[in-house]
Amino acid sequence: MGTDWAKVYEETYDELVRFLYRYVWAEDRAHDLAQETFVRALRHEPDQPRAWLFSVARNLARDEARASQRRRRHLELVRVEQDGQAAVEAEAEIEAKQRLAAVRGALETLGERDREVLLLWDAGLSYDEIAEQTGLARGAVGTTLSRARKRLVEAFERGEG
Amino acid sequence: MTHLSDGELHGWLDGGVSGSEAESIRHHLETCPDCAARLEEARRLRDEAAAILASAGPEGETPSFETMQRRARAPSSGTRSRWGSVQRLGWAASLVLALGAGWMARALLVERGWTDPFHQGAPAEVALRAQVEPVPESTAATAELRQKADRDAEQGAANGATREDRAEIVGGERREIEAERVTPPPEAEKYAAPPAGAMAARDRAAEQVIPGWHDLPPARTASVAEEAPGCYRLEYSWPPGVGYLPGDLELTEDPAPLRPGSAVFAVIARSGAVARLHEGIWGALSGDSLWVQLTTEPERETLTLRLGRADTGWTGEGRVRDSTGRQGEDRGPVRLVRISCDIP
Repeated sequence: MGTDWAKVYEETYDELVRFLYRYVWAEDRAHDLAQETFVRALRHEPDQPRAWLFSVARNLARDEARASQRRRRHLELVRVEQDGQAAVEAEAEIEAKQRLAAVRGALETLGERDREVLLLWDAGLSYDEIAEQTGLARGAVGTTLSRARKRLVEAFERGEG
Repeated sequence: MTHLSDGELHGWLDGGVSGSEAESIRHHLETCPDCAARLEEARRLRDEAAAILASAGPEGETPSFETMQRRARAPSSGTRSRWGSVQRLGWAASLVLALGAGWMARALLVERGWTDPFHQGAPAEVALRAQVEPVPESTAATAELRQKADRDAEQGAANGATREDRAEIVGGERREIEAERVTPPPEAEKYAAPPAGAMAARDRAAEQVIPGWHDLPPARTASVAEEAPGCYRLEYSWPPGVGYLPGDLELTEDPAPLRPGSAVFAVIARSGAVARLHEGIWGALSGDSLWVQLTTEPERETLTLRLGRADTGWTGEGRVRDSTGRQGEDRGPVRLVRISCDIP
């Protein structure tokens, strides 16, 4: 294979982490899954590395998101019990957490397809790559993105307000 | 004058339109103040959305490429445990199918040919004659085959390999497994390679979109006649796969993945309720039939199953529509087997 994997890694790893993070919302898990994706890629050496990486990452992310959703329910229960502890957290930290929750909440109001297209774009994929990845016609990517952006901004503002 | 669509404006801003289209949009923007104003609004929206996402970005260091290479050379990686359990399930089913599908296909081929079963009679009448028994999966050969199929599935999915390519791989492995474990019945070959006439009929069918085949019946939003709680395993044959069909919302978060050949789906079959749980997965009871529609990832093939009751459980056949929306081939026999809800 003629793929320069070191270069692909350098160019794509951070994008993958960013993409994965917004599904799993845990930094360490996003890194874990990005690494897992690359480990698989290095073993399999696919012909179209970038498409392959995002394809596998998306599947891993969805699995993880479902699992973390289940875990979150437990965590929320635990959090209620430990509510008092929040008071001692630094104010900045609380603000950061609130903002993260607002972004997450806004993203979760999007349909799955809209969210995926938005996150793929945000991860740095081109319209052609997004079209290939999602099965959308190239001309539909802009339409999907415009809708997704509008909903994200509106939902975020509602959440903040 | 026709104004530009939002999609065109965002595409233009993002550099996602082709040269000639970009030129035409640019020209329109120069002469249309309305669209020029909308462009600014689109730009604001785009920048704001990017800023929102950027404010929730991950940090952390990028491990070195050499670290990654070392991990890739290691026998297995640490994050695979859950995948592993799912793959074991998938492979348990595919091994079952390896042994059983040939016989099931034989029954269908012999009795009904490769014609459309839904237009011929009730799927419930399909006679399942296979003596399907779980196969122990702990042998080294099985583990090796499982890993190979995992590689093939991923490579096939992302490299744009055709379904036929994968079918050969799967077919080849199916024969390989059978050769190791049992003496394959000669009819099993027919399953891997249907008769020439049947293939031609399927090719013709692939060019036609038959209304109704890929859409759930109108009754999907109502008329759910019964409750069907519990957990089921879906066994279908091409590519080998397994899925769980829970009748309880609580189980819809089962972490098993949607991936080629191994689809996990959920159907709410409570009285009066049919829910779309997530993209590509539908289920509905309609009259005597249970309809299930799911999308494999990342191929985005839509698989529609119409299942009828049989002594052995729900059984029937499925058809696939590929990502171009064309009618695809029969997926072969499928059936649902009630299992314990203790999903690993």
